[in-house]
Amino acid sequence: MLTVLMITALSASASARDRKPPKIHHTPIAQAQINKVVEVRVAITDRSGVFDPTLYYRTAGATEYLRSTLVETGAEFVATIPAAAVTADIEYFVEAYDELGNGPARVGGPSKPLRVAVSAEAPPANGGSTDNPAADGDPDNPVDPDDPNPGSKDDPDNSGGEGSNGGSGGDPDGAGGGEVDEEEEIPWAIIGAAAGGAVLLAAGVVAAVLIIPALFPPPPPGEVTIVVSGPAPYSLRGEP
Amino acid sequence: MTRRSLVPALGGAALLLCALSSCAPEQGEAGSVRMQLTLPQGVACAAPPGNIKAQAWVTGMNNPYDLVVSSSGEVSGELEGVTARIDRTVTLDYFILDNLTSPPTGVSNPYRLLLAQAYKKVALTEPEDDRVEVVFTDSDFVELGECLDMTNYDEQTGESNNTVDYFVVGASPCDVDADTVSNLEELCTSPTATDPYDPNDP
Repeated sequence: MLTVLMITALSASASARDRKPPKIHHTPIAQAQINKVVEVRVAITDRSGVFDPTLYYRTAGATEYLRSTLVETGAEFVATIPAAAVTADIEYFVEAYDELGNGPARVGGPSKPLRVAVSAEAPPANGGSTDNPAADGDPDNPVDPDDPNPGSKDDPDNSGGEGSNGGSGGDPDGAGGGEVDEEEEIPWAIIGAAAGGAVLLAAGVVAAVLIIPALFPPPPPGEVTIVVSGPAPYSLRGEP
Repeated sequence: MTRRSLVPALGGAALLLCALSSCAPEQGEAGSVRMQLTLPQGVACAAPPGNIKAQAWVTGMNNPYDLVVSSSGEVSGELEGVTARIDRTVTLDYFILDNLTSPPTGVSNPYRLLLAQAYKKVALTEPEDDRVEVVFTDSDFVELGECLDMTNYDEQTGESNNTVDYFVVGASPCDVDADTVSNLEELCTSPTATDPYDPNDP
């Protein structure tokens, strides 16, 4: 029991004292073949756990980086640069935090990216380029260069606003005149059904307003303001 | 218990406490051994240094936030625009900008002399509100050997150095002359203040 308590205390202490970012080990990719996927492999370790390991890449000279999440695969983290982006030399860097927010640790950096020379020739065995046409698309990349509007989700089923035309009183036979009998009986059954439907609809709306927010609370804020306060680093000592 | 027997008893108790607590030598990551001291927490000041400033560093954010320091030394402030989704570490630096008469080569003047440092983890993975209150306490102050030079941030590794070399090579930023008396405590001895930059004047 004492051993368990000590181990728990030690592990909590180790976690509380972790102010170091992850360590990233990576052999830079020197060459790649044009229009071929480039696979980036890195080893990332941190005693508090790795958070948000990300590959940033761009065509050399471009201003903005695209991002691709590094996925843990065994002992390594792997991300790919899609073939469509490998049209000229590539610049990239790798970044990761730990679960406590320490970091980012980087290999390369926004202002000092690693550079991959892209040519028509296949790189040597460990050049980093792979011939995998099936991996040309990068589902993890929210800013896929091939997709000008990746977040668009058009709704083909949008039928709002349409209504049925119930006003046609034409006689399909076309014979016997088309006069409308103004003394016709009021269709109470239809009105009742419509009213019942309206009540049900209203009840549904009320239920939706009350229940859905409870079932699906709003997402947490993306940005916060931290309000800090702290003590003086000293205590006043009275005159001797 | 006589006074003669009380002394060894207290000494033994102190040794036991020391062995169980943080003043025991700790094995560093690189195999180095450093003493854990419990300064500057609880430093008693006869005359606190004037013009104490404070800044807060948030992991993942490039620049520190300036804080307000009250006349009695408490700090407060709002750190805006902190991205959520990941837990953060907030580090408080208490320092003075010291005008050095003859700064060593390469040392900025005025020099940012670190007096104390505190840090706290802030859970921001799923904050319930867009304002998160973080209250530091005395127990959040770091020990002398745990002080980090937050201004010397390595963009490549994301790591802050835990030593400074300006006055004594490999010194703690909270004790730049490495005499095991913190910068703050040396200044607190005013009006006969000792020199926080001089290891021979503890």
